[in-house]
Amino acid sequence: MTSSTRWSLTEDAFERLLERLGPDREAAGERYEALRARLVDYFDWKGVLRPDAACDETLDRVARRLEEGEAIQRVEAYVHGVARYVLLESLRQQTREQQDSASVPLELIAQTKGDEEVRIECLTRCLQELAAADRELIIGYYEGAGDVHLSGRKRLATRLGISYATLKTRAHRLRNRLDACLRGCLEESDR
Amino acid sequence: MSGEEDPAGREAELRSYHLGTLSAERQEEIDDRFLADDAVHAELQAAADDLIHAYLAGQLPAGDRARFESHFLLSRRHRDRFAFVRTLVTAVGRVGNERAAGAAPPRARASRWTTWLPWAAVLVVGLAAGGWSTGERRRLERERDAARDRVSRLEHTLAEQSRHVEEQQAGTQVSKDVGPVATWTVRPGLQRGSTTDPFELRSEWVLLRIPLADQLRAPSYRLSLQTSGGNEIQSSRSLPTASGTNERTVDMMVRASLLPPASYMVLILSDDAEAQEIEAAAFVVRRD
Repeated sequence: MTSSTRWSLTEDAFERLLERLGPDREAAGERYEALRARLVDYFDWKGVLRPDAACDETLDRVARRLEEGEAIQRVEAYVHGVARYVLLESLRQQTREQQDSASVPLELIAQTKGDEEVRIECLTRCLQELAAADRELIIGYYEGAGDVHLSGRKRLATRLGISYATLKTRAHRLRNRLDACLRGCLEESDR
Repeated sequence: MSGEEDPAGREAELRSYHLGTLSAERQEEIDDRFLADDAVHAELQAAADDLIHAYLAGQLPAGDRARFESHFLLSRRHRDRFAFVRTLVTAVGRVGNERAAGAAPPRARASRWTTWLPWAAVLVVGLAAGGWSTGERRRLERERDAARDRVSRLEHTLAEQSRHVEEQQAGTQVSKDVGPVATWTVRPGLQRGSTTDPFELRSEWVLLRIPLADQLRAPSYRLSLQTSGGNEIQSSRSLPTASGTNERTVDMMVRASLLPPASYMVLILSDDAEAQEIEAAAFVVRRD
């Protein structure tokens, strides 16, 4: 992945990419962010160690092609194709780097354990700030011990008058809200 | 990709996707769908959260549990999310507990074990809610004890997994699965593996096992692996003690590539901010 050193994203190229994602700039911006989030997860889940860099490389290449005037019919499909190439290149490059060097390991996940009580306090507060119905949903989602969650969640969905898939979607959105709330709370407690 | 017709089948497939056990073709099909569709992306993220919860609740069969540790947790995002879900389940247990007890104000601090055993916190909710039979209570207590064991193993695995990934990020050898492990017992105060009896590297990983003196009773320790010149090679914190047949030990996993032929020291330190040295052990390594 060396092309980014020869060409870097210009404002014009970025604008051109946004234009291709949607006629309305705000909506195009949202589509860009969503596309970026999917790409980062794609690279991360495939074992790329620097998924953000791989994502940037992918989008830079697409923007460059657009700037060069390449006729691209479906830009998102084109992005996926480029992402596959970048994935292969990234994994190859990782293998080369890993064969060449040895290094001392860094942080351990267990080190976060010392802060766990602060995290729990923050998240408890975040839960209590939710609307009652949302709080009940997320508590109900995690209620029960042992292998009872699937049946329990189906019952919860029935009780709430929603489908099981909708329950899962709502629980996921609530988790994301709580995750954002937790991060905000931890930042505050760091000040 | 709706799970309405067969939610269990859909969940199983998405779980397999995250564990890397689907066929390459099916894996690619799902890649294509989530890259093109935010809803499928969100469904996969939700499936990852549910997989984490299933792991924490001890619901994964042994093979899936191994894949979870060796494959799923290679992703930094998954590890971050793991920490979040673990905290969430504990917090949910706390809030649910308060609700069940009819106490509005939050407790100042959770008990130690509910702090780091989210699934045990869920069990506490059940116990506190009352109405459980003695048999049910015993079953839940057994589950809670098993959960404690799991978390102890998990913390260790996570520490190793995280370090393994950090090594990869720093550019060490690529490997998706931890290879064979050799166990080296290094006694404090003694020079094990001396020049006449050095350790030999025959494995990808080395488990350094440090027996603890009887008077050492802390729940966890920090180990610092250093060169004979005092340069730190690896430091592992929050290491739990393990009880063998005759003695208690504290273990640290080290990648063999970090141990070229040389003399080394392992410092046993208090697992707090001060990190005071308690004991030290030394050993020598030679290549096979």
